[in-house]
Amino acid sequence: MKRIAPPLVSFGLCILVITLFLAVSTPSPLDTLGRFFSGTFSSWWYLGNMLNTAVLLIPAAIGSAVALRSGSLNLGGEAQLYAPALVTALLLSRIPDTVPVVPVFLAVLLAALATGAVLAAIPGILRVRFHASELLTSFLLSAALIPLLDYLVAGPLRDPGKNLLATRAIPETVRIPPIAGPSSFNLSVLPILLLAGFWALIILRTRSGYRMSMTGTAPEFAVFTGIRTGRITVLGMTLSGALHGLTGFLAVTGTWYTCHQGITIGMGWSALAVALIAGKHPLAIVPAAIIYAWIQISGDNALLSTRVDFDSTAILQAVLFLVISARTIPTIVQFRRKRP
Amino acid sequence: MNTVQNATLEQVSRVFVSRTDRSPAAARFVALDAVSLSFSRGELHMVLGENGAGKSTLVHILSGLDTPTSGRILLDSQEVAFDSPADALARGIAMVHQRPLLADDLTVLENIALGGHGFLVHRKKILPYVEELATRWNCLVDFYATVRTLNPADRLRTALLCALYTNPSFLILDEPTAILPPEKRASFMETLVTNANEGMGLVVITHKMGEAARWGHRISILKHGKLVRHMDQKKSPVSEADLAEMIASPSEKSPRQRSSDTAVSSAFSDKTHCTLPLTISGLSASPPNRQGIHNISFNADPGGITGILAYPGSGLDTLEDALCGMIVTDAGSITLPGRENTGVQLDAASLTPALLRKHGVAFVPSNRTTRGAYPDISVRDALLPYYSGPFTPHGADRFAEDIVRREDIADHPFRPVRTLSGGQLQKLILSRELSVNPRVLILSDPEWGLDVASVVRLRNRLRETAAAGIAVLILTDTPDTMEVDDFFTRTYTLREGQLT
Repeated sequence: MKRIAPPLVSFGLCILVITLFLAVSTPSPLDTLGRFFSGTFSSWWYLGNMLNTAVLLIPAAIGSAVALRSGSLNLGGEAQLYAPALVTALLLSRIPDTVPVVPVFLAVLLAALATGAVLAAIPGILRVRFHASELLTSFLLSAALIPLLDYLVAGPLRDPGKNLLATRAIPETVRIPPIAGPSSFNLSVLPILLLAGFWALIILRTRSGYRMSMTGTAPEFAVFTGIRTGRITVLGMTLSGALHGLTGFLAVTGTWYTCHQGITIGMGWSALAVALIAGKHPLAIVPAAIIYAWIQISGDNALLSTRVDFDSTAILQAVLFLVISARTIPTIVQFRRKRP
Repeated sequence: MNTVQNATLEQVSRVFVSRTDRSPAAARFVALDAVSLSFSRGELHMVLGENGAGKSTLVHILSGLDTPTSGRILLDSQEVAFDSPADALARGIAMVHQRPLLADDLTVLENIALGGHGFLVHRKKILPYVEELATRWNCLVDFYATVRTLNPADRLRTALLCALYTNPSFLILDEPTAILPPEKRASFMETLVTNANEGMGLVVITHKMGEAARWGHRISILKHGKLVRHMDQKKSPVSEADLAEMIASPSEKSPRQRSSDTAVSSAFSDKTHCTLPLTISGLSASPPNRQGIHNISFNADPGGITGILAYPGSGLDTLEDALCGMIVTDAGSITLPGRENTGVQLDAASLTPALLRKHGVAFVPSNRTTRGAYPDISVRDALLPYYSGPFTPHGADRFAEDIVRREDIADHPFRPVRTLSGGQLQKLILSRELSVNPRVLILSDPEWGLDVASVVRLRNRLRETAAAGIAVLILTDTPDTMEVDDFFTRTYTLREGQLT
């Protein structure tokens, strides 16, 4: 009970704050709150979209968790999602019909993973080589890249035939087939659940997982007992970026079939929130992502009936980070001080 | 202002319950079992006990660092609850830890001033009072030295002054003499007695029965978390021999038969051991703000126990860090006994812990808390760094359980390292380091914080290890405790960073 209390309290607080926001900003509070609490379960459309949001969050959240486990804080999730999404959309929309689909799909997947990996590896290497805080470098790199990516999507790479700020749509042959009607819930759920299980297996049952945990929680002990912590730091960040890249890839191939401006809609931060809230147990990421997605989708849904135009994702992140950081910051500070 | 006359613990228990990633059930460990004890002003109260007897837990509770699971703390028969050491300090109870946490970048005087009241700090204004305290308590330190540059004894003195500056009614000291140079110990204890006679309540944790019998006004003995004896030295004095008898377990267990089916092979059946010594030549290191080491050269022969005896503050910590590859060295080389009777020569500048491990060097560091292990990880995780089998309940968990059982440590391996006593932790680290059949074993300050029985066990074990053909090297800055029965086959003395 003690272990699951903090995440439940955090989510409870989020629901409370959002409920209060909704109640004061709508002409008919009961109706809006009803929508918030049960709206998502009223149709396959909402439920499917909610589950899809969770599926998209899981790889990126595992990515954030990999970094946290190995003792880094990857704040560059937004660009590590956005850039691979753009790469995916760009490559897939330009392939001729004649080439076989499966190898192309896999090659583009690799390209997306590599893009995310490179973006996160840079802060990792800077930290090991020059003791630059990866927390700052990953954030700054991401913050500098996003306007550039926005420009590319809206400018040179924009689909001239459409009115959207988006690249050309990818052909139907490379889209991941949906499994719940018009909603964007799609077949990627299966490999993603496997991935979550695989992550838990690595952490709980392998030497690599052990080394990663030791590097993160007990850095001096790890160095002393011969674990090459520098490698693990870089590896952790690289994997973290690659997993964010996977989310970017799935966002294009399974959900939007194009890369539009701001495709990440804060998913990088949401993923970090999910990873922090899931805490120590690797499998907790799945339920945490589902609850997070439910609050987000329900909030957006209920907001449609209010007079105020605001974004429930923003509130959700604000409240969660406030609650989580109150618990996390002392750990991080302590950790930095102890690093030899 | 502080007028508390009596501090009483009433039926105080402390149970550690731990849960980890993997264990379904909670692990319970009773560190203190319904202890009732009263401390009074004007007395020097010695708390004796073996490793893991609960001495630290007891004083942590009294000083607000830990909270009891059940029981009450009474100050002059008024019940109090301490949430933090600051609470305890506000009620006049201060504690000085053996390796105290100080602000390393500030000067001694600034550290002391931090404990004062008010918004502004007047260094000049407090100086006369601090000087008077230092004289009265016989702990003279350079007030303008940066704390980082101090040796352990001066750090302790600084921490003591910090505590005294808050004008406490009760002062708790955790093994203060272990860290002082031998010639200073008696005079330090005399100072404590004098100040106790002048009205302060002093609580001193110690392993040293001689010290307790000679100086203590009262002596309490803890064993397995229970208070077993409580004596008033003024009424009926007991001698060191009496105490030794009371503390010794009725059946001091003979070293357990080692089970042969464990995953750890502790038998050194491999008789093809190298006969080459561990050779260090020309090792120099000058880390910032620490005593450097210059041109250190020595040999440690396989089958023998080599001692490097150091005066406190003469650079032993730097030597330790250099030998285990935790700091960058300036010059020197190290030759390790290899597998087939060949030496492996390594450049000291390229040493890393990983490289040393690869070449069969095992290391028990003086910093057992964050280097030899880590408080927040489980005992299992602390035992696994060199484990090479599968990470399954049958593999890794069994491996850890076996070591824990062989070392006679209560409860199961999922409890956090934090709940172990210093001696238990040291046993586990040694066992872990020996589990990889090393060719060289280096120990730094191995007897630090150990009780007499544990020291005897440790020495026997080290003799056995050496007899199996391993080069054992011991670094220590409390040499007097180790110079017995020809324990060392060879010794070197480290003074101001140089070997003589």
